[in-house]
Amino acid sequence: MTAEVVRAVAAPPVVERIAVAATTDLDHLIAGEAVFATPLAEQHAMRDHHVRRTLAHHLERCAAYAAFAARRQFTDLPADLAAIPVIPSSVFKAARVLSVDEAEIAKWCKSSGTQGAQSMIGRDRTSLERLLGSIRAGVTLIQDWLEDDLEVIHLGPDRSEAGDVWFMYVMSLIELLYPTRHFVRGGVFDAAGALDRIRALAGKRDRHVAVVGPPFRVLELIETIERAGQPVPGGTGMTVLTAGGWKRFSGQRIERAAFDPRVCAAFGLASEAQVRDAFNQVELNTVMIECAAHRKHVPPWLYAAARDPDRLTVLPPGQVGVMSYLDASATSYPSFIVTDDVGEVHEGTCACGRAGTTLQIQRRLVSVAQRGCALTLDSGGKK
Amino acid sequence: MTRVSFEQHETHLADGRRIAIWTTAPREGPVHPMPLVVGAGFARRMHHFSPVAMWGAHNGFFVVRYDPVNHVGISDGEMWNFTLSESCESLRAAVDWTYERTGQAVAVVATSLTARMAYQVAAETDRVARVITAVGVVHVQRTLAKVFGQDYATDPVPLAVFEGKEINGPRFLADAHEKNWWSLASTIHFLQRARQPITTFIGTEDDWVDPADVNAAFSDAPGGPRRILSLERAPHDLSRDPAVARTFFLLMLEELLAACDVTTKPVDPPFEALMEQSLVERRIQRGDK
Repeated sequence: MTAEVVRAVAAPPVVERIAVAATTDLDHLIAGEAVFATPLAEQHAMRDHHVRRTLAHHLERCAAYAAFAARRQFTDLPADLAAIPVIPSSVFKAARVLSVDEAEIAKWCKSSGTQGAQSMIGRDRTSLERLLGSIRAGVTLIQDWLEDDLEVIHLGPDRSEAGDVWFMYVMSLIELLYPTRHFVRGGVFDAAGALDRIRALAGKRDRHVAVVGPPFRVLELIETIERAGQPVPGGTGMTVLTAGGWKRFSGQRIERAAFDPRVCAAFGLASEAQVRDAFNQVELNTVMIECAAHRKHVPPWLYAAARDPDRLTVLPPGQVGVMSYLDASATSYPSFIVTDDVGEVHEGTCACGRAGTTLQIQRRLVSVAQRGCALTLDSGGKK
Repeated sequence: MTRVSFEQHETHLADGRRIAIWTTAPREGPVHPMPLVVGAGFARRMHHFSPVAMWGAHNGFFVVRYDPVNHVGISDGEMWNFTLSESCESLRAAVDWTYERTGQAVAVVATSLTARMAYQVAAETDRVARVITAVGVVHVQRTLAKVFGQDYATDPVPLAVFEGKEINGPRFLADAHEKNWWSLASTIHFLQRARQPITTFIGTEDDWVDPADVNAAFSDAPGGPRRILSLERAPHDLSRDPAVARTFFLLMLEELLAACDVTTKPVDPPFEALMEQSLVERRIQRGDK
């Protein structure tokens, strides 16, 4: 075990007192109730500290990353975060890159891999627990629901059917936080069943309802609602949370600007603030969720930067580039990556009122057949 | 995947009310001669303590959980009628069921408010061999005043609301006054009578349990060996930080294994087995299975 037990003050004969270091700075931060409520400067200080500590861990424990850093002539410590070498996320398709012994891997996580090779990421217990913590923290950007305050209608499979495919696995984990019903079984989406359940819950109004799924599944559900000719009376008691990418299997892009009003109309939502999107990819150990202003907030253990696509230098906030991340929450592999996504990072006070770093993903850098995690679901049948 | 067995049982209070019981045990190999009875905290259900059961079973213990009557969970009664005395009766019934099934005195593992009941039950019966509590309440009046922001002992209300659940004020308060649940002195009384070893884990960031009260309760002429382990930066809800929770599980198991003369270090259950069991239990609680 990692906890350090320190014998403290000598006690009366039969009362022994022991102080125990029960957690780490980073776990304490991830589990905290104020992840997104600290001033920007404090967030930066925490982020820099945790990323640098994690960098030292990976340089020491991951020979492949250390060699990569050496080839980049990276020697400066403590490092400027912008100078820390980032691995192309495609590297994980070709090699198993680890910072722990393979015996410590609790789960091998696969990218969707609609075509071609799949990324394989080995996560240990700590990395998985911190990933769950990032979901818990991110959900508070919507609302800090208690377990019984919310029921989730999941437009995807449960954990056993999700298997090792990352996006489906991550989405299924919401059942660990809230009562959840899954409406993909055997690869078949039960839109009618999902709609029946949503209508039943909307009628009772004794708890909030979250409809969770990839955008294309939400569109399928909307089409079912529209065919029925009767919107769901969601009002203020329902949230639609999407994740997994904004393309259909056909390759056609789903436009967010048109998506949100259509969701609001079909589900009878009071505001477009009730439509949120979440972002993650298999190589990243943190899930980011949108606030009411539709900005994905970056928690203070993650450095997100847009980079110049040719030189990979970090661009100033607000400039569009390829997205890169230094995620301090992953211990079993270096989640120090540059991705295929194009986006931008903003810093300061968000329209939602929170100070911090936010990001917006615009599109994929390449237009080859790898069209995002959601598509492994999109290739499934309908009921 | 999992190397443990999980079963559903039930027992009853003297008046016939049903208490749902879940057991988790090693599927093979020796089982240590000290079953664990896990008392969940106020407004928590059995499934919230799935990790305790899984860590226990993976380390060779027969683990029993129960939902109290008149509480959340799947035993008889509603939270509206919750009383501290019925919560205590429920723990006593779970201890008796376990003792009668195994013939062995049990270790009670209790959290938060249920710790207070555990101290009382330990003082009353030698069917309890040992008690381990986490963020255990010793001064009910002071803790509830912190939780609700109002001291209901002196300023009664028709109903109290905790995490969205309503509790009948007059019924709860009448029981608390009549059965002397409020005071630190009442807890000290039982801790002085309990001869069993008792260990408590306190959190340095616990807003609801004052370490000074715990120190006072455990230090005043204790009836048996006492340990106070202070988990630095731990909140009242230990499960909120998995690193804290794991530290608690491993230290708890170190003590329990030593009590059974086992010298091996405790082990972690596989992460995926924990997830799988947790989901199974949540679905049972929800009535899906």
